[in-house]
Amino acid sequence: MSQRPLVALACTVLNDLLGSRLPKSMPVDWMDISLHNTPKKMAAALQERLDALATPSTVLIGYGLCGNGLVGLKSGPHTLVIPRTHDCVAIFLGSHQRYVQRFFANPNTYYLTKGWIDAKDEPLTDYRDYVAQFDEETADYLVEMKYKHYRKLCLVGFSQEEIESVRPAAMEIARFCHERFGMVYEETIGTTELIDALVAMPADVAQAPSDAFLVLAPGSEVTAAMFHWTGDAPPQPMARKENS
Amino acid sequence: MSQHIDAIKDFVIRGKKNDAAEAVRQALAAGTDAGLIMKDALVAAMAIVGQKYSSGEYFLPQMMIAARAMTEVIPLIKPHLIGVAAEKKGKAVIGTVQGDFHDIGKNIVRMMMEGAGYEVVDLGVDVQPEKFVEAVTKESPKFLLMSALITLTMESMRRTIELLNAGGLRSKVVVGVGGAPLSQKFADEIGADFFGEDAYVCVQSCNQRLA
Repeated sequence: MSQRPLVALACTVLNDLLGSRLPKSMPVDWMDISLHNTPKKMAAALQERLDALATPSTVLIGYGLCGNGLVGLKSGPHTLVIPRTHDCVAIFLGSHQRYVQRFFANPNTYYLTKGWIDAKDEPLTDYRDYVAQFDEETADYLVEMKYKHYRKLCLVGFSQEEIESVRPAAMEIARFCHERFGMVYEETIGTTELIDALVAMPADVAQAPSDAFLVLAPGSEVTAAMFHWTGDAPPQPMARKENS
Repeated sequence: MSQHIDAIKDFVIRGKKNDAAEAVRQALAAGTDAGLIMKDALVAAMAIVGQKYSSGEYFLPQMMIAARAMTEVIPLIKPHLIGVAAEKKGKAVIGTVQGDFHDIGKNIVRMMMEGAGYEVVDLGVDVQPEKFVEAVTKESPKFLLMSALITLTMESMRRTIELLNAGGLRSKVVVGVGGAPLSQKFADEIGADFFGEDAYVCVQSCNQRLA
């Protein structure tokens, strides 16, 4: 069987993590990070890029379910390989399970990544933008409404170097979030496990089945159910470490 | 008189709460009917804001400050409402689902429901299915409105509806669901009565089911 060409279609948030691991020769289409704010437009934006591929390919998708943003994406003549996670925080942490565990233990955590900080998609820039667009009093109200329920601000990076490179910017955001909302800052180093496994996928992906990825054959469509794992139910509140 | 109404409407649409309040005071002082201010200024303003949001002209912040402006002037108008205009349309229990702390959408829906004349019992954020069911039992609302922003927490809506079914309460309440990752398909799948694509659609969906 002739091997199909391998290409990648990914969110810019994964630029460092995924970009540095892909073979230099592999074509990559980096998508605007702000798509995650409008999940209903995400599938259409990705579909356009997929449909533009000239030859039937194996496409590594650098997205998770992302607010159901991927739902409705059609593979067409291509084979899609997608990390079976709910969003990119899980990709940084290295597995769906690690993310779910963290999420349900502390659901009121705001996650920061280098990609989001670089793209200025975080609370402090939000505040400054609102002050410029409206006025201080209105900006105070808007950020209060958006962020008051978060208890933690967690910087997630895939390596110590990455964390250190964005720490100064993260700390500035952390100070703002602590003063305003009492959010506690923490850092978590994820792993490159999931991305390494994605990159290691052979062109004939059927040879490497894994629970961690969805392999979508030509002529299929992404559904939310494909991302459901058994046992994702939230634990009882007693198990929560609300303010720890 | 219609200049007063137009001024209030315009200030609410632009989220100018202090100006809106001043315009309401002037309108009332000039003898404008409070019911008319509610209907032709506030409810009409939020309909326009809803349309601007749906069409992409307005984003979340504009929607949020418009809803805030409306909410802040309601207490000025309320004491002057008489007759039919003073009556509540019905009661709605509202909250974000278990594990979900994202309540901007829920708060906009609450403000718009109140503006539209509903009594709203707000259970807040991170509401367990059992708490929703308890509130339905206690409050006997016409509507139960649940929202979620995270795909991991959406399933909690299904659980709530299952519990309502098990408790024999499902037929007694209209269930509406909303939130960015939701869809009509998901609402159908879990047996909700409607999917509120946005806050304005949610209020309209409730209005349609009042008859």
